[in-house]
Formats: sequence, structure tokens, C-alpha cells
Amino acid sequence: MEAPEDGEEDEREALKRHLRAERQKRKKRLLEQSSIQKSRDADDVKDVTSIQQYSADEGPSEKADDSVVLSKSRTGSQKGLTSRTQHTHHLDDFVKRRLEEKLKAARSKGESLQDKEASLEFPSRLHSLRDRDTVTRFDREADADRAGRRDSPPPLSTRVRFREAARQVGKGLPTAEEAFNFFTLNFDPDPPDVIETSSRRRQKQRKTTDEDEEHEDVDEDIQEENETQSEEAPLVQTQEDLFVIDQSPQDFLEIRKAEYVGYQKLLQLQSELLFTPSFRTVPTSIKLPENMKPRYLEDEGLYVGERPPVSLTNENILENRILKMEEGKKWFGDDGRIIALPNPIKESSTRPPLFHMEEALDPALQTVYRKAVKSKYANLYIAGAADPEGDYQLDVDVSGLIFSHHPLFSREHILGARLAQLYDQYLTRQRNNLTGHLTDKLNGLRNALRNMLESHSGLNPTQALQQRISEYNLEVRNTRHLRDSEQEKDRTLLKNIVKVWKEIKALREFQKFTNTPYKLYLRRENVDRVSDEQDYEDEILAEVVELEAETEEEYQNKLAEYKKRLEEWKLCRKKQKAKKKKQKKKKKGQAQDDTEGEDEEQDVSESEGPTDEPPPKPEPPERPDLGSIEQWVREKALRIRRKPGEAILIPELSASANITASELCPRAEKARREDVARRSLFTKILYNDKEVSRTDSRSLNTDFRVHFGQIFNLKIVNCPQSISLQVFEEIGSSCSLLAQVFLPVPEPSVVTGSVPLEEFEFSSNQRVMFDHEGVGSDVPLSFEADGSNKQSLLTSGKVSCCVSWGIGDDDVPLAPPISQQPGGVHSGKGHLDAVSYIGASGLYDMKKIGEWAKQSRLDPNDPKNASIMQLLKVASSGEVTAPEYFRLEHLQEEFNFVTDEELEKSGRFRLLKLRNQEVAEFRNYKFIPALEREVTDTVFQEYEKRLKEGEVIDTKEHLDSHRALVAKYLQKIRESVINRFLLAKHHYLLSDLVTEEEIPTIGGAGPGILGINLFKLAEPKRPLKPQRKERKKVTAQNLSDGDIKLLVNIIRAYDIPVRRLQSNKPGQTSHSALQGSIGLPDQIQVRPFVEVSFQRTVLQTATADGPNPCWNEELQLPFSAPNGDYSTASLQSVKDEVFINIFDEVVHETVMNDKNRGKSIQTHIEKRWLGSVKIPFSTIYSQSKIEGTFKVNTPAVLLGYSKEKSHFTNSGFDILRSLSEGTFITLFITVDPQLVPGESVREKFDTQEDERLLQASERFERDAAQRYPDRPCITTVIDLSGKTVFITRYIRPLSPPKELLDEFPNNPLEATPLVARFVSLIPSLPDQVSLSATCDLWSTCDQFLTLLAGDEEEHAVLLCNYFLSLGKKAWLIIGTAIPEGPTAYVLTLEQNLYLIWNPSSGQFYGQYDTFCPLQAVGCLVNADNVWFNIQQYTSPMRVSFDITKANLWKPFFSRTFSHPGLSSIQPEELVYRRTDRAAAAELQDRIERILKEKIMEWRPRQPTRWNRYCTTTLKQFLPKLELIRGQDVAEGHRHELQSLLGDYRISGFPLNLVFSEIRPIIEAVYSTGIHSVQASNVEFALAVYVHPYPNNVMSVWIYLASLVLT
Amino acid sequence: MAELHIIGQIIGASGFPEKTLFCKWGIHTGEAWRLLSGLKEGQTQVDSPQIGDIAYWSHPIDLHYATKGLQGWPKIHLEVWHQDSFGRCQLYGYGFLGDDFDEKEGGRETEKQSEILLTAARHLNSAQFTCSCVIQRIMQHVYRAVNIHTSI
Repeated sequence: MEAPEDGEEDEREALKRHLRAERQKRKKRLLEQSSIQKSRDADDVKDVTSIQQYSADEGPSEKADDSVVLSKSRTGSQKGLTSRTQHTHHLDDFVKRRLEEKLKAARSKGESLQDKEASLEFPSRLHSLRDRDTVTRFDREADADRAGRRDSPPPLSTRVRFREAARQVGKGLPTAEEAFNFFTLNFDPDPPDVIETSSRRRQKQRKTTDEDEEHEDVDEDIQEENETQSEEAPLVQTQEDLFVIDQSPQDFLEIRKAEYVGYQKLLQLQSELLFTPSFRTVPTSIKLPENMKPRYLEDEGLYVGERPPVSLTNENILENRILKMEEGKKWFGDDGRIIALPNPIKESSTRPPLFHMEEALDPALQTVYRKAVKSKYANLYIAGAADPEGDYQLDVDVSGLIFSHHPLFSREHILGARLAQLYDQYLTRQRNNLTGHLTDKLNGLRNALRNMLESHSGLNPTQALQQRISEYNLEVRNTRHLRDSEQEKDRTLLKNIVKVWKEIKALREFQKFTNTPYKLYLRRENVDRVSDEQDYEDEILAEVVELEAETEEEYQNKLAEYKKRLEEWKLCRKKQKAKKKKQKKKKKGQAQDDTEGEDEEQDVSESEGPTDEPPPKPEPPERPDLGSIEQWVREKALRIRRKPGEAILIPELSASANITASELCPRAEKARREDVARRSLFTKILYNDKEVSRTDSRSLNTDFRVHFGQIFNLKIVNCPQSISLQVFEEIGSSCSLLAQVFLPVPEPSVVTGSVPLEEFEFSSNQRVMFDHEGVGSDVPLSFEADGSNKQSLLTSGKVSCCVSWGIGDDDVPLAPPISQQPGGVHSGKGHLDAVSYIGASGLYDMKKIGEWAKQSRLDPNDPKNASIMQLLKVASSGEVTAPEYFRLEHLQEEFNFVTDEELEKSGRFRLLKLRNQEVAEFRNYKFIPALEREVTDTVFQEYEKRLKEGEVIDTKEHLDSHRALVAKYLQKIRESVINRFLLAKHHYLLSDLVTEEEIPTIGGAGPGILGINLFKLAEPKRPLKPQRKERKKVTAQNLSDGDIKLLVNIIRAYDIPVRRLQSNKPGQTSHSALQGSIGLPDQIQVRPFVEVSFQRTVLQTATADGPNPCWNEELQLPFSAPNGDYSTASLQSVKDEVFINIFDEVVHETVMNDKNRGKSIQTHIEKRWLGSVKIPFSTIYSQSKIEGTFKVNTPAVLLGYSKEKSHFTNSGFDILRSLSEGTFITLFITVDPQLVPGESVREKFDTQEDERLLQASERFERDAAQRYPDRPCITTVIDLSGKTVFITRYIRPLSPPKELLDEFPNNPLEATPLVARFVSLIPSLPDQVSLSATCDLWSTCDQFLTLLAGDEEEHAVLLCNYFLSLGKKAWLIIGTAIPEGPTAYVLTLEQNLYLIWNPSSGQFYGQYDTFCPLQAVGCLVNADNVWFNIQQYTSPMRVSFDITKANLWKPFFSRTFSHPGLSSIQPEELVYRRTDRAAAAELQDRIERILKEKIMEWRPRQPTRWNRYCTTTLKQFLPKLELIRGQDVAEGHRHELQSLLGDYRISGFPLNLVFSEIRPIIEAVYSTGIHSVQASNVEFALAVYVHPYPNNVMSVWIYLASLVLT
Repeated sequence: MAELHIIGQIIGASGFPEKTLFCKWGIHTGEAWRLLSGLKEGQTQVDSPQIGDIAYWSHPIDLHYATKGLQGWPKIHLEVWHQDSFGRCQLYGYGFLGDDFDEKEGGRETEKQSEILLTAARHLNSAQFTCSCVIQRIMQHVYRAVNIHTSI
């Protein structure tokens, strides 16, 4: 630095001193504050860092007044400059002044900052205080914690000591002692009592907060400090725990138990990991950039939207969190609050655009305009109108009407009306006094303008002032024009009135009578001539001056314009000239060669010149003629204004003139007057287009005014849509509608008494002409003498009336609420309303709206204008992209991982869904792959195929269209029933869900361990006397494939047919053959074995000998449920049957004579079917075991075999056996493990039965179940529609098909077996299978015959009804039978003998038949009563069927509860369809074809030859068999065949089947095993016969035979 | 394509003026969620505790959801009803378990038992509810989604 001048030096020194002093002062003030602020960050950091911190402290304190520092440095540099310059002094002065200014500014800034802060802190401190209070109140622990923390920061004094040390460092090198002290001294914390006192002082201060602001400042700071510390404290304290590893490496190897972490501990751990923002208020100073004052836009007058309501706590948490982030401060606005939008809603909506191109748009999406249809009934009635209080009353006051034109008007009337009209106009104008207003306004404006000009006369007018003056001028001009036009109108009106009056007078003069009472007076009002003239002159002068000024201004403008253009022109001209010159020069050069053409050239160029010149020379504007202005103004004034000094004319119209009496009038006029007198008028009042009332008829007066003066009170119920008056004119008896006047529906506030009468104009365009003085209507007429200026007038007039709401007794207006008003109230939106400004059409013009918005200076931030601003924003941004749609989750698309299609495509999800829906194919699908790629499409193939084929009925399967339909119908019923039972199935009992082992009982007979089992230990073991043990039942859910086995124990058989000796003699009788066979005891009669097939598994027993073999063999057949679903419902619907077939093993030995090797014997083993028993699995499942002796279903004819009659008289069975015929087999079948059969649905169904009856039936059944638990007792059943029906309603005599009875016209008894056969031919289908629910539905007979499927109950009911109609005594037996289990049989009484009929087979048994399948009799039912068996025994053999004995049979209806006369639900008569023989024949062919195909299919290795001859023979047998119903087998078949075929070994049999569908037939044929004949030279014969019965019941006969050539 | 299993049970309720209670429940999800299997609403049995104050239902909840987006996490609503001796039912309280319900950790099972305060006209009562969510393959999707959006 150069040596500066002395003066300068001094000044600089002074400045420096000044600065320093200033800085010290400021520093003192700021020191506490800033140090506290800075120390905040490092409170818990170790001592050493606090020194750095101190030095950092210095920095900011200097920086705090960096404006000062800056200016200082600038002075330095400037000083360097000034030292070299000459005019240093001046500069110095300048600099000094500037610096001082700056200092002042800085100081004031600093002070104001402090002030501001103080004032700011005040409320926030209050907040924090409040917060603190709540915290301490609720959380003691936290309080204590914080109290501790409050002590933790290094005390102030310690820090001061550091600071001193640091300052010493800053001064220069420390002394040795100081250095030693610095590094070794243990800075003890201040004694705690100091802090305590200080804190106590603080608290005291807090209590007396309002006293001193400066105190508060300090207080505040300390407080802040505490807060921030407490926030951060836990974070750092726990850091130590986090990072210290106190486990040795061994610990890592150690295996420990899993540690349980308690909830509290877990919370603690989490709190260590997670940052939980504090919910205390953040001081403003932190949120703002340093040294920034918060700025409040609202105070500055800017519109700030209302912030969305957020709870203070949430806001605090958010703020605390944000502050922890990087650049957290950017989230805060100038006012130190979080930036928030007033409205979170997006400005533009987000619906996808809909393109309006006609082609592109989907026709389905095309908008179709439909006119709004007003609902006829909605809103028609006013709400609450029904109750008496809510009556509404509309008062219609029809005061009268005045015609402004009427056909009966005379000419004078027309003029009179015109005069009256003009006078009215005059009066209204007078009342409004527009001219006066405008004149006043004009004067006011002129004064204002003058004042303005005067006040600013001395000064140069500013831009704004000029603008205003010109605006004023404009306004004055406009007002003047308006006033002038008004004045002109006034003047012309007055002139017109006078003119019309003159015309009237002339007319009266002319026609010599007076028709109208009008009389016009013109009142003169004299004025002070001098003052008036003065005013007039002033006015003209003022106007002239103004006009002059205007014209002058205009001239000036024009002149300026002219000058500008002239300038331009000149410029152009100059250019032109310069150009020309150039051209000339050029030409001169050229001219030397060619001088002759020069002139020419020049001409051309000159002629060219002007074409280049764009503007012609502008004309200077003409100076306006100021003199003419005055003249013009005076002319105008003369025209529109009263002459000065002239009296003011005031017209007054009165009706005082005398009307000439009729006698004095000419005839035409007289006729007119008479016509007038004849007419009368009335009005109708129409409410909602309905006439509600009419006024009295009043005659038309000569003045064409009608006074009604009637008020109509309308009590209304309907909403007022329209109110109208119809004016009628009456001439004599005829009346015609003149006009209709529509009245507006009043607003609810319009109440009677408060509204004046209003006039409503009406007119009619009816053409009326008269031959008298009346002018008529719509007739041209002229008032001129020459007939010119014709005009035609229409009938018109005014009705004066008013409509208002009535007032009730208590001054309540009887008006409906405002919402009821149709149309609604349109209130103007004031001057800011855009629609009123630019018109509705302008709304579509964005530009216009934009202009308007600019002009009206809309506040863009005002929410009221939000929609317009948004519109403008969109419009101004170019194309209209604002989508006009709305989405709830409009970001859904963006956040999707996958599209919908992908989700739908997922095989895994589909599989899961289908399994969940229990779709048949996937019902028990066990494992669904976890990965998408593992799901193959093949899984769905079957399902999709089924879906596709869904509705198509496979006629091939059913062979009969009717049956296909029935199957479909059944399917539907099944679905509906399943749905019905779905709910019921979800009602669980405790035992359904909880499996509980029974508590062992000690010593008792229970099943427990300690019961019988205890004794069993002591019992001697008796292996030869095995005892049955109770098996454990297994519930379905624990099962899987292979767990279940079907156990079939085949014990023995009786009366198996024996082989007949092959006899070549056809004449041999059966008897002799039998004799012969018995006669040869060594001959093998039969070698039977039993084959059991179930679900594709075939097992067979060993072969036994003789017709009464004993096998005693147990066969185990595996069972698998469909789809592996072992649920009860699934098991119930298993349709599989167990086939038990008895075969004869035949061994053929053929001797082969081989010449080379000698004799050899070849043995063929052949099995021949003898008979079968089939038991459905569902029966086994529901019975859990089947035990007994069954009749084997043997074919009627067994070729090569003969039924052996019992000849073993010594056998114990013989007596019983002799009673029945046929083969029997003893079986025991069960399922292992025992399955729990599904229980019947416990659900009460809808019913139409009497409640009393139902209760009685419930009681009856309960009693029965209690006393005889194993006797079935049924009183109520469920019909197909799921309703409970009393059982006796099913019994009603119904006649069997007529064809059946016709067979035996003489003996109806003979028909009985035929009827039974007919019933048995209806296919049997257990309910459980068909409906897959454990419910027993009983269909009525007609339903049964339509469905052609049903279980035993339906068969029994039908049979019983048939028997009753045949005149038998018949009952329904409810009992148990084998193999069906609980079932229904039919009991008949014939000739003192009770017969038991099996309805499913058509067989009947005597009461004492041993082999009767019926095992137990539960109850008997007929149409009148139900009897329950209360005898000791249930077996039919031991039961007495005498129902009259009350000690044996307990009747349901007794004397105490008599039969209420229940009507039957059966139809009166059954309608049968005729037998369709053609269909039967077709069916027969088809079955035959299918069976032949199948048999060939089953023999894939051998050729299958059909013996045609045998087939035809067999075919002949079959109808005969049907005729004898398979009984009474004649041996003739064999003989016949034998005789026909000769050397064949024939074995064969006919099968009789019930036709339901083809599958069972094939199964039956297959199970006979006839196809399995291995002999090479075998031939087959197959014949099918279908015998049709009425109603599509078919009996199918299949004759199968195999022939081996011997 | 993320999947979510919700497995849990409604344990019981206490604090109602009567003890004979049952509960109706239902699960609501957003648009993006598809129910693959399980029942999304139901009703428990009526429990009338002889001993103690809590009516135990131990009603299982087992649902399997698939979702294509993250919005609209499942929420469960519970209604506690009282059945009086005449078989009449009366609503005693209801509650909603929203965000807590789907507290999730990627790929892991979180189990928590929460008590919902059911709002009733007069009483503040509680029903207990446990639930564990198994989130399958959701995290990778979450990350993917997040990545996509950060890259945008």
C-alpha cells in the first residue's frame, strides 16, 4: 500500500474505528445468539472440537455483518485507487457518504431483524410451551430424561473458558503455560448448583414472560437450544452401543438359543435404528436461509390461497423430517412454512381423450342426442303437499284489461289510443328524466376536467395525467352525444303528441261527433328569459370549445400522420433520385457510343421511376373550419332544444271531453256502438294448462276497458309449471278466444299484498272486418286524405293482473320451498360476470375471454376466478390438451407391474381360481406349480372342451332324444337343488369340526380303555371264536388314494344252475336230462367261481364244485374316488357299481392227433356266465356294510344249463328254499376303513303344511326314533321344489297305462304283474347319485314318469298308486331291505294274503318268503294315515300287518289328532304318451350295432365271426321272452337251436335290462365275459329286442350266444 | 405379478356390554387385486363365553391374492354383533384395519396381533385380530417398479 495522504488517513482511521465500534456492538449482541446456534451442532462432541467451534463462532459473527466487511474491503481497494487520482477529496467524500448510508442501512436492518425475530418468536414460543406442557403431563419418563439432558450440554461458563483459550490462540503464540494448560487441563464442569439456579431463573423468567422483551429473547434462545439438543441426544448417545463390539470371536462360534426379544426391547431397538422425527415446532430461523427475515406475502397484499388444513403436530413432524434431509430448506417458503398448494387437485383432469372423428369413434361410444324427457310423475307434486299444513295457495288477481286496439275501434279511438300511448311514454320519460341526468353528468365531467387542468396548469403534465385527461375528454364526448340524442327524443315526442292531438281535433271536426273522452291541454311554463338565454349560450359555447378542441386534436393527429408520411415519401424520393443519378451516370458512360438513344432511355427511366416510388405525395390535411363548428352547434341546438326564452310546454291529457250521444251520431257509428255494447269479455285462468276458474263476464265499455277486479285463490298440489290467462270475447251466446297471456310463476318471496299489479301485453292476429265505423283488425287503413301511408292494426291490449303466493293465518307465506321451483333462480353475478360482458357466444372464443380477463383485471390467485384462469392457461398454451376426464387412481397404470392381459393369461392363477371355484375338473387338484412355466396348457384342454360343448347333448350316449332332454332337465334340477342345499351344508355341528376321543369310563360298558377292555385282559384268548370289533370311523378329509378298500366276502351260493349234458338227441326232454344227470353222480355238475369287478379291478375266487358251493373268500378291491376327492359329497356321487358275477369253469379237452408225435391233449378253460348281482357303491357307502343272501340275477334262459330243483330233502334250507326259485348268494361287503356316511341335511324347508301338522309329525318321528332307533319312520318328505310335504299326500289311486290293462281285458288281476313290471322298467337312479346331496327328494308320479328316473320311493309310490286304482288294498312299506338299505316297498292284501312287492324289480314275495329282500318294516303309509310298527319284531315274517290293532301299529292320525283332510299332491290323472314302435325299432338297431362293435373291440386279437343263422333264430325268441316276462322258462330254445344248428356247442343267455342309457348295457354285456371265449373256431350270435311300453319306457332284451363247432 | 397370502384369524372380542357376540368380516382391495382363492368375507359363530370376558371365535382367514399393482392394499373390516336370547342381532361395533394390516417385509412372514378399537355409538371396545401376510415375489416387483420410476 502506498503512503496515503494525511487527511485521507485520518478519515480512514475514523471510519475504521467507527466500523470496529459498530462491529463490537453488534458482535456483543450477536455473540450469544450465534454461538448458541452454532454450538447446537456440536454439543455432545468432545471438548477438543469445541475450540474449532469457537473459531467457527468468530467467523459467522463476522459474516453476520458481512455487508460491513464487504464495504470495508471495497474501501480498501478504492483507497488504492484514490491515492493515485487527483480529485481524491471529492471521491473520498462520496465514498464516505455511501459507506455511512450503507452502515445505517445495515444497522437498521440488523435491528429490525432482531425486532422481527423477537416478535416472531413470541407465538412460536407459546406453542412450544404448550407442547411441553402436554408432554410433561403425559410422559413422566420422558420428562425426567429431558431434565437430565438439559444438564448435559457443556455449561456456558466452560465454553467461555474455551473461548478465552481460543482467543489467546488467535492472538498469537501461546505461552508455555498456556499451552500446557490447554492440553492437560481437565476442564471441570461447573458446579451443578449454578446450572440449577440458572435453570430456576429461567423458569422464573418463563413465568414472567410478558415483562421484558429482551429477557424473552435470551430466554427463547436457551429454550431453543434445549429443544434441539433433546432431539438429537438419543441418536448420538446410542451410537456408542451400536459400534462397540463386546462379543469375543468365541461368541460367534457359540451356539445359543434363539433369543426372545421382548416387545419393549424391540421397540427400543427399533428406535435406535429408525429416525423418529420430533413433533415439536421448529423455530423459523432454522427453516429460513441465514439472516433472512420471514416474508409474508399476505401482508404485502398478495392473494395467498388458504392452506389445506393439516394438524400442527403433523406439520411439525414433517418439518423436522424435511430439515434432516439434504437441501431440506428448499421445501420452505419465504414465510418459513412448508410450501403448500391451496388446492391439491390437479388443474387438468385425466380422462383419456375421446376422438370425435366420426369414423374413428366406436359406434357404441357415439354420443346420441336425446331430448331431455321430463318425468311425468317425478317432481309433479310438491313435497309435503299431502299433509294439511303443507298446502300452498297461489293468488291470481285479475284486475282488468285495456285494449290498445280492438276491431271495434273507430278511427278516433285509434288516434286516441295512440295519443294515450304517447302520453304514457312522455310521462315515463319525464319520470326517468334521462336528459336531466345526462346534463348533470356532463356538467360534472366538465367541472372535473377543468379542475384537473387548472391544478396541473403550472406543471408539465405527466403521462398518466395526459391519459386521464384524454379519458375524461372521451367520456365528455360520449355523454354529450347521449344527452343530445335524449334531448332530441324528448323534443320529437312532444311534437308527436301535439301532432296526434291536432289530428284528433281534425277528425272530430270532420266526423262531427266525439267518440273518445281525450282532451289534451298544453300548459305553458314561462321562464326567465335572460338567464335562460345565458344558459343556452353557455352551453353552446362550451360545446363549441370542446368541439374545437376535438377537431384541433384530430387535425394535429392527422397532421402528424401527414408529416410522417411526407417524411417517408421524401426519403423514398431521395432514394429514387440517387438511383436515378446512378443510372444516369451509367448511361452517360454508355451514351458515348449511343447518344441517340439517350433521350429515349431517360424517358424510360423517368417513366420507370414513379413505378418504384411506393407512396404518392401525401396531401396535407385541411385545417378545420372553426367557424362552421359554431354554426353547426347552433343548428343542432335549435333542432333539439327549446328556444331560449320560449315557455316550457307541458302536455296534460285528460278524459274530460264529452262523448257525443249515440242519437246524434251517424248510422255507421251507431251500429259500431251497438256492436260494442253487445260484446262482453271474460278471462279464464289456466294453471298447468288446466282451466281452474274464470272471471265473470263483463261487457265492453265504450272506452274499451274492462274491469274484472277478481282475485282467485288457487290451492295447489302440483308444482306450478305455467299460469296463463285466456281472454274470451262473448257476442251473444258465442264466445271466441281473443288472446292468451302467460304469467310468470312468482318466486316464493312474492306474497299477496306486497306486489303491485303488473300489465301484460297481449295481441291477436285474427282478421276482423266490419261494415260499420269499426276499423277491424288486421285491416289496412289510412288517416291521410289521399289514402296513403296505410297501416294495419292488430287486436292488442294489456291485462293488468298479478300472481302471488297467499299468506296463511299466521302470516306464513303459502309458498313451496325454493327447491321446488322449476327453472331455478338465475341471479346475476355482478359486474364481473363474463357472460354478461361478452355474451354467451363469446364463451367459446378464448381470445375474447382472455381480453375480458385482462380488461377486468382479474386477480389470478382468487379462487373465484380459478376456472377462468385455468381455461385461459390451457387456451394460451396452444392446443387444447386438457383432458376432460377424471380418474380415481390415475396413476394405477403407471405403477402396474403387469398388464391385465398378462394377469389373465397366467395359467397358475387360472388354475388356482378354478380350483377355488370347485370346477369339476379341478376340484381336488392337489398341487399347483409355484412357477408359471410349470403350468402346461394341457391342463385346461379338457375343461375348455367341456365349456365349448357345454350345452350340446350327446345323443349318442343317450340314444334317445327324449332321454337326452330328461338328462338335461335332471341336470337343471340338480343344480337348483344343490344351490338350495348349499346353505344347509354349511351348518355344522360341533362333531363335524371337532373330533374328540371319548373319555374312558372305568368299569362301564363304554368303548373306553378302562371299560370292557379291562376285563378283556382277563379273558381267555379264544382264537377260534373271533368277535367283531367296532371299527374306527374315518372322516373323509384324512383320506387319500389307496387308503380305501372294498372288502367283499363271498361266502356261499345256492342253487346254481347245473350243466346239461350235451345231447345230440333233440327229442330229449329236460326232465329226462335231469334225471340222467342225477343218475350219474361222478359227473361234474358245475364248477362255479365268483368274479367281482369294481372300478376296473377284477378279482375272482377259487373254483368250487357243485350247485351249492361254499367259497368263504375275502376279496379286496381298491377304491379310488373321482378326482381324488374324498369329501362326503364326492363319495356320495360315486356311480360305480360292484358286479358280482358267477361263472362256471368249463374245461374242454381236445385230443390232438399228431402223426409225428402221437397224441396230445389240449385243455381249454372256458368260463360261462351264470348270473350276477350288482350293488351300487352308494348303497355300500350309505349302509357301511351289506350282509345277507341275495338273489342272483340269472338270465331267463341259460343255454346248456338247467335249473336244479331242490332234491336234497335232508338239507335244512330246503323247506325255505322251495318257496322261491332262483339262485342265491350270500355276501358280506364293506368298506375298509369305515367311512362316515353323510348325514341328511339338517335344515328346515319351506312348507305349505299346517304348523300343527308339522309339529305333530316331528313329535311322531322323534318318539319313533327314541323307542325304535333302527326302524325307519317317515312322515314328511321333501318334494322336488324343496318343500316339506306330508307323506300321505303322495298316495292317490292313479290308473296305469291303458295298454297294460287292455292286455287282459277280462281279468284285471292278471294285469298286476304287468303293471309291476312296467314300474320296474323305469330306470332306477338313487337320489344321492343324482343330486349329490344327502337328501331324499320325492317326486310326484307325473314328475317321475317325465324324468323316467327315480329311486325306490318313487317306484313304490307309483306302484302303490297303480294298485290302488286296480282296486287293491295297498300300502307303502317304509323299511329296510337288502341291498338298498332304507327303502320303500309295497304291501298288498290279496285274499287274506299279504304280498310284498319290490317295486324296483317287479317281484313279489309272500309274507313268509325267506328270501324276501325286505328285512325290516318301519311303517306303513296309505292315503289316510301313517302307522308305525311298535311290535317286537320288524321282520316281515314275524310282523302282523293288521293295522287296526293299536297295540301293534301306532297311527299318526288318531282320535285325538284327526286327519285334517290333506289333499293329494299327485295329479288327478296321469297322461301317457303313446308307445312309439318306430323309435323302439330304431333304438334296437342302434343298440345291436353298438354292441357288435364293442364285442369286436373287446376281442382285438381274434377274429369275431357272427353266426347269422343263429342270430335270426335268437331274435325270434326275444319277443316271446318279453311276453312271458322272463318267467317260466321253456327249454324249447335250446332244442330249437340245437335242431337248427346241429354240431355246435352252444352257450348263451338272454339279458333283460331296463333302458336308461347305452353305457350300462355295454357294461352288463361286458361283465358276462362272453367275448372272452378263446376257442379259435368260435362264432357269436347277438340279438337285441327293444319292447316299448307307454311313456317311452323300454325293456331291452339282449340274447348273447357263443357257438363252438364240435 | 405378485402374490399375497393373508393367513390369520380373528381371535375374539371383549369389552362389549354383552358377551354373546359374533363377528362379520370382509376384506376390501383395490382395483389391481385379484382374489385367487379363499373367502373374502364371512361371519363367525356366536360365542357366549361362560368364563372370562373374551368371546373367542378363532375364525380362520386364508386368502390368496394376486396383484398387478401396489395400490389398494387389502383392508379388513370387522363388525361385532350381539345376538340376544331371542336371536335378534344388533350391531355393537365396527372397525377397519387398513395400513397396519399389510405391514410387510419382503419375502418374509410377519405376524402381528393387533387390537382394533371398534367404534360404537357408546362404547370403545376391541376385537383382536392376528394376521400374517406372506408376500410372494413381491419385492422384486417393487424394486422393478421403483427402478422404472426413478429412471423416468
